[in-house]
Amino acid sequence: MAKTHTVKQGDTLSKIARQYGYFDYRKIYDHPDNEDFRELRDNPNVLFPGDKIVIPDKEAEVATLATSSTHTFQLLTPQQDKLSIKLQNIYGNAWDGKKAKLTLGDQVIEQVLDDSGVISVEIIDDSQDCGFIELYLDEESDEPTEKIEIKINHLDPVTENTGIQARLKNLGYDCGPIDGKIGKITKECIEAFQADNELVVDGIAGPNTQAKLKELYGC
Amino acid sequence: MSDPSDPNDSNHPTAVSSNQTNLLVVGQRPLCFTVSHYNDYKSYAWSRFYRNKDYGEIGLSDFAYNGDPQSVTAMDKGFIYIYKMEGSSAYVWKAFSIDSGQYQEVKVNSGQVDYATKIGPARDHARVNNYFPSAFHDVPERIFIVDSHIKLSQKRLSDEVFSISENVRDRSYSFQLSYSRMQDAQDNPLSGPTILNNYRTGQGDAPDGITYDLKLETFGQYKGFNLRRADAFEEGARRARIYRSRLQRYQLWLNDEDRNKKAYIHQTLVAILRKDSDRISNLNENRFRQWADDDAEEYKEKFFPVHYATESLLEWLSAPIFAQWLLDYNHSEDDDVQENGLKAYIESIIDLSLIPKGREYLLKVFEDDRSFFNMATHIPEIRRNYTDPDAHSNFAVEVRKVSNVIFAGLQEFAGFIARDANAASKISEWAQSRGVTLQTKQSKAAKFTGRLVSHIDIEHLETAARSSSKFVDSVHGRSIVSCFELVNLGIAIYGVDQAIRAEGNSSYGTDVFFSVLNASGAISDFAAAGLLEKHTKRLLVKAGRLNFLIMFSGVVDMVVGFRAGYKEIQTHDYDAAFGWAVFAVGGAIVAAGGYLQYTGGAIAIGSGGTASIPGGVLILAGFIVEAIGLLWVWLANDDELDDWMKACMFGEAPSYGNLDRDLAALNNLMCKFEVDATFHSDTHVEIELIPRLCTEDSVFELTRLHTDAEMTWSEIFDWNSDSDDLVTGHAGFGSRTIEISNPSPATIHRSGNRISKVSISLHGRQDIDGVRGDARLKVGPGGYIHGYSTSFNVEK
Repeated sequence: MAKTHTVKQGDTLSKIARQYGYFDYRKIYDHPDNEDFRELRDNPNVLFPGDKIVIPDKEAEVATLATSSTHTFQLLTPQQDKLSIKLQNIYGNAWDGKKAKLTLGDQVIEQVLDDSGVISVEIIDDSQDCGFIELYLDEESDEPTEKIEIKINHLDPVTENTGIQARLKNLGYDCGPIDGKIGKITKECIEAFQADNELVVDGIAGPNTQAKLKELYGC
Repeated sequence: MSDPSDPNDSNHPTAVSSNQTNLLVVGQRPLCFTVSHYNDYKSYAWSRFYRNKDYGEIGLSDFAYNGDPQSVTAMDKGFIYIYKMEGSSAYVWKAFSIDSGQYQEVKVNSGQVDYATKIGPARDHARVNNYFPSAFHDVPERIFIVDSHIKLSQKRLSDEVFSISENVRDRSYSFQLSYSRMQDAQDNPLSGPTILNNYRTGQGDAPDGITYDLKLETFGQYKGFNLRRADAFEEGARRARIYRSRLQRYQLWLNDEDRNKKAYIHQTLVAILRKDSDRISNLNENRFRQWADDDAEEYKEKFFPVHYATESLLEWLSAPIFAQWLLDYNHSEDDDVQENGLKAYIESIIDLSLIPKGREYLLKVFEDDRSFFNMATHIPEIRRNYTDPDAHSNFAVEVRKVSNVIFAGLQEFAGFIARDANAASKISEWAQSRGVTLQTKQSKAAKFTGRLVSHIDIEHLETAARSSSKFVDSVHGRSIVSCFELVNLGIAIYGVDQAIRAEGNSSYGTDVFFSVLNASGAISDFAAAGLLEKHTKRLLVKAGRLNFLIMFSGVVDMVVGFRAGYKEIQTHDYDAAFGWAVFAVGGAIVAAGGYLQYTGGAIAIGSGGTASIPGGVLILAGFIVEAIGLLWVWLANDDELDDWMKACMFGEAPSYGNLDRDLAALNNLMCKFEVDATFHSDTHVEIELIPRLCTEDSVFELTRLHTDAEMTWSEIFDWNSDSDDLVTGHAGFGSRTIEISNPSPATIHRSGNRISKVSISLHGRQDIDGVRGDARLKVGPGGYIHGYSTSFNVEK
């Protein structure tokens, strides 16, 4: 019998799929019972706590095999989540040539950024939901110029206040803690974002502002 | 640990999503700053000339404003505009309004500032998000920060009026530092005072555009700065206050009665010695020379501070930042703001006309059609209208802004507008109320708002000037009359200019003229200019109402007389020269005498409460010296002169006892006259007054006139004597006043141009054997100032 999973903070579809024994999250996302969910979340990588996801019953796969033969079965390993972060300056230019270091628990990835400015890592430890990125803008210093703490899989949909706050923050509008409250700091950020992007400055993140956020951030 | 309530605390985790490329904009910092204005400017005493003395030099430089960073006032109200350059033009990028020290960003859309649309919360500082691209060496785009107390008009914002791109340094503080290097601001080696000090002590180059100080400050977690700039109007007012205060101190000294009396005596002695140096033996030479040395030193101590204060004030009035502020105000869309700009300007130039350098500046202002004052008052247009003959019949004045503020400005040019006593009186009345009107709006005259909105038909300027007092006293009337005065002002300036040009071929005359312009006040400037234009009667300031006018009138007489006399001498017409010389000395004595009537300090002249006559006797010295030297040959009796020299305060045996007696004796020497009489018949006697010095506007007064009849031995033994001849007794004739300018029934006798004798007849009913009485000569316009009195008793 199908189950329903209620999304909690830090969940991803891959993680949920693994939890329920699915190797591919699409088996869940594309299931007809999740039509409503798909309409709500067009990007399977961005969930929101409280979302309901139907976990379909597993269907046993039947393999017809000949006897007296040796059969080899390749067991698919569960998909691991991949974290990709593009680092750029306020002018939209990647920090090309600058050293960046991404640390997730015991995983440490260090690289000199190329012109894409992207640093990526496959997350080995599912339970690790936070880490930090260090960016070395001063080549003469061993100390990182910027150290950004990250909460993995905490990016909420742009329709949510927390999603708006997070995107604004990531785009350089520091609206303080991502608490879902549109207080004066968040409103200021929204206004600044609207002013910078030639939107109506009203401090309200309506559909146009959300669309712009989504466009610039990428999701 | 992060503090969610702290808007500046960004130490909150960044939410990202896996299986998705997350975009992180990293390395930016906001630009945070506040603006303050200097309260005061460092006052340095340079040792350029006098290393051991502080003569109050304020410190001058090439538009380097040596503000005191230790004393500033945070901008409490106003506006901040941040410009960016695009090619050669600039555009407004960000704008903030400041209210109660809170900076509120407002929206800027295509160069238009939408003050109603606020962006973000109000803060105690201005913040430009994401201004710095990195925390280290990357330098962001250059921006220009313009601070203003007023909303800038769209013209000023959008480059239409004297674009910011051409005046970036003047109007704004430009910022282009990396975030990390901003820390240098705290010890900014380019701070104004440091640079100026280094410059003065030879440790640095000439300062160049040091118009600010930066002080590093922290706003939450961000570094920022406090930008200290000049409040152009406050600084103008401050320098003007220093100027006026020093001027007042100087004038208190200069106008000190005791000192001036000594100076007058001293200068007279100098003149005598120049003519005849052997007479030094009459004096105590040490005392004579020591006084001059002491006075010269005292002069330096008193005047140099004024000189430096004047230079400092003029420097500020010419400073680009001041000009830019004026333009901001002048192009405001708010009429009150426009007027406030004019008011600020005028408050900075009050009393400037009392110093020659100040008058030079004012003249330049009026000659420059693009000067702020001309732009704000439309004087050039008014002048053009007035000088256009076709416009006279239906004269239309285009008035933009006329109010009591302008009246105060006109005071600075009182000499140019005082065409007659009425005008002078009128100015006086207005000026007396100036102190009030400048500080309250209640009595402010009507404003003609906007640009060239009012067309006022004046049937004729002269008629307008004589309008009924009710009309003139009305708000509307005052405005119109002020226009009229502005016209006069323009005409007067034009007249001065023409007079100067006309004198080009006579260098000495021009020198004299300029000397007078510099030596005397604005009134005499104008009047002298008028004389030289041969419009004497119309333009000469009539004496009588105000004592200062008497003095100036004397100056005018003196200058014109001496100048004319000099020309006669050049043509060897000594007789004519003598007459002019008398005229000149008369003027000098009148001026000095009028001057000495004032006691102890500032002379409240009619055109202003605090203004005073610049210069005093010493300024007149050059003319007195020359004129007295010229006249002495004719006027002085050698013995009398030597006696006076010996007895005066600088003499070898002072005996008069006090300065007044010294002066009275000198005065008598110059103005002494003899009384004689010719007995034409038994009942007719002609009293003859034989003056040394008598000017065209002197007055003789004869009082207690009596004739005496006596039974003389000759009458007794004269067979022809009748009973009338033998009577004794006396007859009273009361008094007679003889105005030289209107002598009838007296007769004026001249030798050349000189008044050699004044005679008046008395006809009695009985025998006249003698005549007696008191005679008094009053020299000067109206005969009010100086003179000589004597009693006489002439017998047949």
